[in-house]
Amino acid sequence: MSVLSLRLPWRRRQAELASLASAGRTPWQQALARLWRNRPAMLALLFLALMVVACVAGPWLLPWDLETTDALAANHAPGATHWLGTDFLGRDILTRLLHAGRISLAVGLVSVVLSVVLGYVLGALAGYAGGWLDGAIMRLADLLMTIPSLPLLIILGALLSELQVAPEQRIYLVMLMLSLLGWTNLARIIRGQVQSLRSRDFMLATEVLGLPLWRRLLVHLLPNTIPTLIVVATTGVAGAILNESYLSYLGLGVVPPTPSWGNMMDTANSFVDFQRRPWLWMPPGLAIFATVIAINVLGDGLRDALDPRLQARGAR
Amino acid sequence: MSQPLIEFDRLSVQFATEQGVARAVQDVSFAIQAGESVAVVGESGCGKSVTALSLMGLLPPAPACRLGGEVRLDAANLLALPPAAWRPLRGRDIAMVFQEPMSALNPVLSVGEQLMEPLLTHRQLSPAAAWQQAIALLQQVGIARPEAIAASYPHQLSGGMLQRVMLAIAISCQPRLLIADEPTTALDVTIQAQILDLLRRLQQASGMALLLITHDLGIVAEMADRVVVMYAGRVVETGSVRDIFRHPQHPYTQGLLASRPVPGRRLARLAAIPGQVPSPLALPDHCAFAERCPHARPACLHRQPVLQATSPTQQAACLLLSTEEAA
Amino acid sequence: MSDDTLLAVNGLVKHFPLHGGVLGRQTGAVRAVDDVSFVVRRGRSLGLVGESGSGKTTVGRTVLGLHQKDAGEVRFAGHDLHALDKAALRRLRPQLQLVFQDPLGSLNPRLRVGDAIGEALLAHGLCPREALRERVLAVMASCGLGEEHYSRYPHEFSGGQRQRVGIARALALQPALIVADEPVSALDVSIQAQIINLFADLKQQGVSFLFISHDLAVVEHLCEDVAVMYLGQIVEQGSREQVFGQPRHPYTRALLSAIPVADPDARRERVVLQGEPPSPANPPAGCRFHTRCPQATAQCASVVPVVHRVAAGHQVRCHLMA
Repeated sequence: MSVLSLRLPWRRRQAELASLASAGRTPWQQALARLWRNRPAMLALLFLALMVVACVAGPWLLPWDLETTDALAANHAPGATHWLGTDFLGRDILTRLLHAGRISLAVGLVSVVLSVVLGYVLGALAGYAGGWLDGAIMRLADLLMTIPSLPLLIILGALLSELQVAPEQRIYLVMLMLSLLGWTNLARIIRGQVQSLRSRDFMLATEVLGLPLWRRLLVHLLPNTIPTLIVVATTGVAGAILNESYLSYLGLGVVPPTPSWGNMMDTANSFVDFQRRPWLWMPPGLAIFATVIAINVLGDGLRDALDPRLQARGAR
Repeated sequence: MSQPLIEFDRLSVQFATEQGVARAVQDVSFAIQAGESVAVVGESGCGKSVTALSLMGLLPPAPACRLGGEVRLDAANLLALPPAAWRPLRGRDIAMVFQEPMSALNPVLSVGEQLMEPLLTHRQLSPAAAWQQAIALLQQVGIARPEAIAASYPHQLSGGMLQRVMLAIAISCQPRLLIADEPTTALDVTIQAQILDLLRRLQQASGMALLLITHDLGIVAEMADRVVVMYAGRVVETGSVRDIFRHPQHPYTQGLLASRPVPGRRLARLAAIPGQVPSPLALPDHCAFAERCPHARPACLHRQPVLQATSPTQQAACLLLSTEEAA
Repeated sequence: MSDDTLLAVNGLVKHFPLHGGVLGRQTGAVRAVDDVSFVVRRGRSLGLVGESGSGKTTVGRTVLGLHQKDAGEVRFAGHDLHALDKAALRRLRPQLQLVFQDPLGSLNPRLRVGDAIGEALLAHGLCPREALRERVLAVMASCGLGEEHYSRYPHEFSGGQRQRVGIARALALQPALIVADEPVSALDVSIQAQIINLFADLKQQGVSFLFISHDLAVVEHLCEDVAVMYLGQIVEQGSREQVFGQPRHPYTRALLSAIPVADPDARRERVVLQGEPPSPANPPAGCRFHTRCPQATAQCASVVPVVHRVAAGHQVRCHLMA
């Protein structure tokens, strides 16, 4: 008998008990309290906060300049003066790493903000309006999702190189590129959520109560999608950081002299550097790795904190 | 009286939750004789389902759930058994049907395959014999075209049909006790009548005992020989079905009986029990029903009543019944 | 039609199209409601009973204008509900309210219950903002909720209290008619009695109910008039005394005899129906009940029965009445 797969009654009971114990707090306060109790997520948040502070403040505090080259100090291993060593032009790796962090994090954040705005608006519109508009938006999303994104990014990156866009402006274009490709996932999720929320009893109730459309949307429908939005956006940042680093590693995203974690890693292309000078490519690699993991852990924590029974327990 | 088939002896079940310890079942004692129908009645959260699950060894393992007392089958304590020793008991000695037959059946296996499973494992029949037996079982639970039903998958069948299949699986190894946890709650009333009818016939034919978990007093009155009324994890009253319906002793039992509209007897208002069931996280040390009880006295807020006999066949846990003698 | 008619439903039909195939063409329809007529009088309540799939919920939703009808007419307080434009329908909304089966699902998890009860009053301009809190507290008090509940969230309530919130939200608009769709079936027995008593109190105050339920005992307790539905059609309707006292339709009789009676000595002459209700997507020809009817004749399988008046106000859709 498939007895163990049942929804056994004490689970439901536990959920009810959990809700009894939390008197008088808003759903947001409860979510924060749950997040606070989630140790891995809080450690991840602490790590990310430290990373941001280091990237923002670090370059000012370190004695080295980003661009200053020093032929005599080229390719030094990590030591007392240069903590993470120097590159082939004698530039301080730590300084470059932190500068690159600014760029990589900014590219990740900004492109996600753009794609979230785009994805949320289009997804909510498709979910609520339905009909041909829904069809049009979702087919566009399908189209973008079926095009393999990496080759497309490579083509676009090559185009930027061909057009000889200045490195400083290039990062903005990279952000735009990433966000134009990144909105589809969120749009799909939000559309599905809006559709399921619309058929929930409490949305039906707003119709029976004769509430005006703006109130039904802004007070009842959309706030219930915010938790999903937060979770998807958070994990989206990790994706965008990874995408940026693929591109920049291939020399198609952020290009030197502007440093990014991705383009710092292209030194690993050289066999000598890869074997003999791990301080050139290991720090940016580790930075990407740790940051992406921390963001994903935080995203999981947010999901657990924001998506309790409130949404899981739908009405039929 | 002879050796009972099942004996709950001071069973207690506690769940560790994030908010603290939930005392789901406390100090529950009652027995089921061979062939007898016992109904456990109570509202959601009163511990009736947890009591039944303890009999199947289906409660979560130790840190999440702590068990106390004993549950005896033929005088052997089931709670002391290692997990591996449970398996032969389930299905062979004790079988269970649930409220939601849909979620209790595996959606990717045909009904016939799921029926054969216990026959192959517990009774070691050959596949051909098991198939024959499965068809016979489906006939026994009143399914008209057993071959067609055996070949179909759960999603193709209605709730009433699935519950019949669940019953066929449950009786396949001729258990001595069938636990039915709200077996008809998900069904329509005309289908419910069919299933209750079937349950009665199966019980008469096989002589198995029935432990019926329900909130529906109408079903209790029709099906049970004896009734156990639970409230907030404790047994508050037990007795023969006639005792409970004719002379309920505990104020909760009285309230429960008065809170359902009676067909044909129209009252302006129902005698509703005020208030809410207390949370199992914060059960008082005194009578858990005292706050809702219309007859509560100061003593009720200080002491925990214990079951005591009010007649040879009936017991109730209420201080009012004892203070009258004491005072 | 007499003056005390509040809601008149006439020949209501509602089919839900079924789509199939790659192109999503319509392949059939679930005939959820087929030619349903009834009247709810002011100050009285109609109980709409039936098993799952009988279409009783669809009737309720269509009466509220939440579904478009396919044929027939719904007249509420003199207005043809489905002919009204959006603005007029919205103005009429406060008069016609709904109480749900699942009290938690019917409340926005992110809204304090005080705000949930008061928002429609504000939206319809029925109460100035300064007086809102007091008005909401008064409604809450009449539903057995205290001031301490005002700023709590739905998840902090027990099932019975949530249903009180749901009722208070409908009641705040002072509706003439409340459609209650299985309002107590998700609740525990002792809590059910509290809510049933609350409905009885509201009836005393002059609110009419369209009470949709599968629980015949509750309907008999609360409703003066009763309509029994089977597979999208009303098979019998009349006063409570007529339907429960002298049931004429074989289905009503079977339904009444199937309820377990909470009395171990009750005499049980049960009509156990064979089989299960057919699918409303493919209802039987002739009388829809003939496949399960213990008294069916050859005529029942081919000829659709008409509605017979067996007594004043007592209507039965059955050939046996001819």
